Amino acid sequence: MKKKFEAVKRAYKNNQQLKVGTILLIILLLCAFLASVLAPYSPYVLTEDIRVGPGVNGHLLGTDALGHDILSQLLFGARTSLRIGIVAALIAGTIGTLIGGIAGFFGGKVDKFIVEFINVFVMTPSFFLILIVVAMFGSSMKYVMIVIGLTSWPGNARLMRAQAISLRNRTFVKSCQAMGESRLSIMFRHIIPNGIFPIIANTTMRVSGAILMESGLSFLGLGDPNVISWGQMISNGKAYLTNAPWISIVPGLAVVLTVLTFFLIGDGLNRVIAPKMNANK
Amino acid sequence: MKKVLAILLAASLLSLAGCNGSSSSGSSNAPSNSGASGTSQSTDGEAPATNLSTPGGKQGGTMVVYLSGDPSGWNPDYKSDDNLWPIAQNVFNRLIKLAPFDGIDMDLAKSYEFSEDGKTLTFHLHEGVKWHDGEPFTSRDVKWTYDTMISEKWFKAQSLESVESIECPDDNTVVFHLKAPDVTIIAKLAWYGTFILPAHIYEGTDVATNDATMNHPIGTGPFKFDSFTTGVSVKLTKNADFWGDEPMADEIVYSIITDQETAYQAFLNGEVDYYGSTIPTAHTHDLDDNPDYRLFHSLAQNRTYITFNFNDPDFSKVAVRQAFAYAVDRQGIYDRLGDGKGKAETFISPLQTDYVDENYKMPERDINKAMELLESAGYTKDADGFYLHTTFDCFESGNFADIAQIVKANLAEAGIDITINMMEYAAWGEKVKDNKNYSVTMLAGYQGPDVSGVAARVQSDGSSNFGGYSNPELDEAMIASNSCSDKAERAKYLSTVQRIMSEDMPLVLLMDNGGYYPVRNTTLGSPWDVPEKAASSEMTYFCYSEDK
Amino acid sequence: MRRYILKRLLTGILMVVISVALNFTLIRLAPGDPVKMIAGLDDPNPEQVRVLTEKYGLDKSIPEQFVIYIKDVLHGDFGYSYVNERPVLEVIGEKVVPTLMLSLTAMVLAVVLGTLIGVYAARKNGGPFDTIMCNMSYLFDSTPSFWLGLILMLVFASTLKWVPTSGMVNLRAPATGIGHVLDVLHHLILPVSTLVIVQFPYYFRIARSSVLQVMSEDFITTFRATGMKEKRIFNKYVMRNAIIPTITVVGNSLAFLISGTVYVETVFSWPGMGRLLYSSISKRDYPMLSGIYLIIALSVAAMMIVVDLVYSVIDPRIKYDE
Repeated sequence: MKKKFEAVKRAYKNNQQLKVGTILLIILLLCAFLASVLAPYSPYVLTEDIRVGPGVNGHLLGTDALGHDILSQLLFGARTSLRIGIVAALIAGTIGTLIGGIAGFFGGKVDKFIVEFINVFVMTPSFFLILIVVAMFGSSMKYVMIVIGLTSWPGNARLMRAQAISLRNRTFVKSCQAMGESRLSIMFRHIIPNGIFPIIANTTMRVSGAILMESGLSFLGLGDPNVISWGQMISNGKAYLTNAPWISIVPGLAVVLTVLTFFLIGDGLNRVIAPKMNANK
Repeated sequence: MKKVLAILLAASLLSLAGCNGSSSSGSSNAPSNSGASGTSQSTDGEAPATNLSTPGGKQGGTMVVYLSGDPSGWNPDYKSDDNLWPIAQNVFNRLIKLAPFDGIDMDLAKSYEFSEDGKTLTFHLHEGVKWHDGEPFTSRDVKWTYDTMISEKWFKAQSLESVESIECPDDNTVVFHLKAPDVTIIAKLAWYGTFILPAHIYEGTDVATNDATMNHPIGTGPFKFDSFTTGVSVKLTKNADFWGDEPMADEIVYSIITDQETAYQAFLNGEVDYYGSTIPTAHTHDLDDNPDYRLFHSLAQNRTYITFNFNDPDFSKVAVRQAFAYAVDRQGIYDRLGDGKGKAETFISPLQTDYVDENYKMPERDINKAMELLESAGYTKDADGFYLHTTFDCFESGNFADIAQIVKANLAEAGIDITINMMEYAAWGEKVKDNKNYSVTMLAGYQGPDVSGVAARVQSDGSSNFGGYSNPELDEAMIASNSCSDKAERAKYLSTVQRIMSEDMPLVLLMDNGGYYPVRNTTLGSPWDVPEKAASSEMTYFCYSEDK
Repeated sequence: MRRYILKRLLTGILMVVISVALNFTLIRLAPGDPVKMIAGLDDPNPEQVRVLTEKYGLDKSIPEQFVIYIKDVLHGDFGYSYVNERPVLEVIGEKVVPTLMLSLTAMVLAVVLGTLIGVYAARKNGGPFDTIMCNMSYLFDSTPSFWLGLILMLVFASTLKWVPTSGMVNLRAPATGIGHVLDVLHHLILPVSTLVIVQFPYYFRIARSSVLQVMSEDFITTFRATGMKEKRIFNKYVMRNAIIPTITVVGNSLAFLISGTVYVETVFSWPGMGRLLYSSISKRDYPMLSGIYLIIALSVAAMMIVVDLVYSVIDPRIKYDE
């Protein structure tokens, strides 16, 4: 175990991507945690500077049409947006991997049942489910976050299932079975670790997917105005693209940076966990 | 009875009836874009005598008009439908019609008069008017429409509350017998849900499923309905037999664009000829110095306000409602979102210059006063520094989310914590209107051209007063004002209404809605250019200019 | 094989029924009364509300309503839209064509471009091309489609005036024949480009990461060790295995093509299913929604079977009816 840890540590040291990704993530998390210290204004306060450009009157990134300081909103928005992205992606990733892995590896009746379950789930457009939840409970961010997670796992489950089916007939899995290793143990020790790469790629994408989904809800007028999120900032700012572009471009860049961070980490992790991948470069 | 008088009535109510143009509504109707070349005024003056309805305009062609959503049926009186409204102005006629700047023009009626006692209203109709299917239009169509509207309780039946009976002495005369004198009826007939429908098509059928309601409206208006493609367009063609001025365009095509920003870009890019709405807040002043457009400024009797659930233990207290009024920063809202709009300082719309009582005004912002009020009502600050926590139920519409955020920030300063609950309209309707499961909400909407529009919001049985606000003294004054032909006397009753509104604070007014309406200079004869002839959204005179 | 397909079909139908029942119930549980929306929330006429509630059977219990609905559907009657009283299938039929025109075109382009570039980037793993494409994929993957659409509109329609702003045809001068086709194509450029740009990263990354994964497999290393030509390994073994995840996601996406893309359709005023679905939800147009779900569910069920079949051709290791 210790040896393995050492190996990972070494791989980490050699992995430029992962390093940059981690640093970026730390910066993002710091922004989120220290928002109340770093932000020059309360993100909710309406300053007298309305729609002023970056740098004017001490607003480093300008203000929006209501007079909110964009830098402050950006910092506080990091809290909401990171939370939406990470929570939703984790929910989707975990459920997807487990359900897909079980279905693909166990096969037979279990597989059939799960596949049909996924099918029923998939037949409902997630967009519709989210709107229903908003209709039922209002546009509270908490529900939106969970629903995005709960509706976006089937893709992962499908991928994992295909992987598991492909893996379970491999020699190394067969030999483990022959050696009497329990099915659950095989699944967690071999199937999931070996088949998870596309799911990691997919899940890192889900982070941005969830952030963007929330932005889309704001576009339809169903965002949660009680919290500040990048998605909402983008959607509120889009009307001002021609005469105050910073309002939506600044949070847009923040989303890009976040997505980049998660991709770097996702990709980097792939390489650390599966060093073989680098071997054939 | 009262001092009487038909003429006075008509004159007092609406200085605009007939064809005398120009508005008294307190908003300027001159194009505010001074740099504009070829504005309506100059063309009017320079144009040579011609038999064109719009001098200097080009006859024929297809004009594309922006429409913000699909109409949901074609009977403009049966249910309320904002997307049918602009189309109905062109397919149907009323007896008298609502014009831009809240003015009123004659329509199917050539003239009207009230009897001495104010209880009989007689309309003289145009002759030789034909329905789009060729059948003659007569007074019986009018009688059938309004009788049915009242008996089947169509959505604006309340407008005709004062009508006892309608009779048709001949084909071209309609007589309304009123239960009591009603000075508001002219404005109400001109406003909404009062288009004359073809009796020969509807009589004896189920209005809801009649083909004219579902697929193919038949009217008497300047344009005939041609076709509708959901989510794409509604096409109207010129009514060659139109009884009024000859329509300029051959076709009017409504382009259905649900996103406002897209619609505005399509207008700027010339794909849409008539925008018909105010310039979006994000773009106000963008066209100020642009010589290719003329801008018309108009305020409407349309106010955005906060209102309450009067059965809620917190908001049944006057002090709490007053605290809201003191805490809200109306100037702040105006500075951020109000360009071209009004600050909503008086309790009835500032457009009603004859009736506004300046003694009663929304209070200036005073946070300390707001907190004092809350303390006097027995509230104390909790650990978070708030006297009161509540939920603000809003539906998504225009600038509501922005206003809600400003209100939230304002109230927080006075120790009132509100959580904004942004809902879909349908969900809001059930939660707030039907189930009354709310504390505070926000509303806006056109109240019609007459001052009595405020009644719907504050009178006990007002259709938009679903929070249960009730003050018998206000009701009495409101009702008395409606049958009051003398302007000064009516103002007195309305002053009572305003006083009570300032004391009870049933509505915390935030903003008077309105803005700048853009018209491209390559087009002439928009409703804004000819408010003395055209109803709002009427396209009879709209066309390309000759030199385009 | 035939038995398998038959069985798939039967379970497929069952799934469709369950899914439709689920949606049928959910939307009715959500607050909002369609009848009030029709009668006008402002001043609804109580008589009209009563008549309509009865007419639409909304006074009955949800299971009762569902049984009636299923009976009607079995008789080929999908009902009438509450909003405009038109037959549900007719309205859906009107929207399906523009939707497929937009979404299918965009998807084919995105899949082909994404996969080709993804595979190529994986072969050049770590090289400059790979780096550039990866960064581009991050950028576009994090762009909201409505925002990108608006930017493209401002640049290419409002500023450069190369393409029309919105809509599907030029309403002022509708063309016929070939002119109509060209007109529609002209209007398609912006929305399709928007969709391709936001969808491309998805297929790019799936293709790239699965190629990388397969290339790291033991059997590939073994082939290498035996001196098999790199090109042959790639074409014969890597591609075949690496394409499986792509097929899965393409299958998923194809099934949902029919539900449209509400944001891009809204921004470009494209008359597709996304806008229909959204407005039907806002107006609580139950028959229309049930119709749309039914179509989506059928399309998903059909695609699943197709994807399974394609799998069996590409990856013979997958067996049926074990």
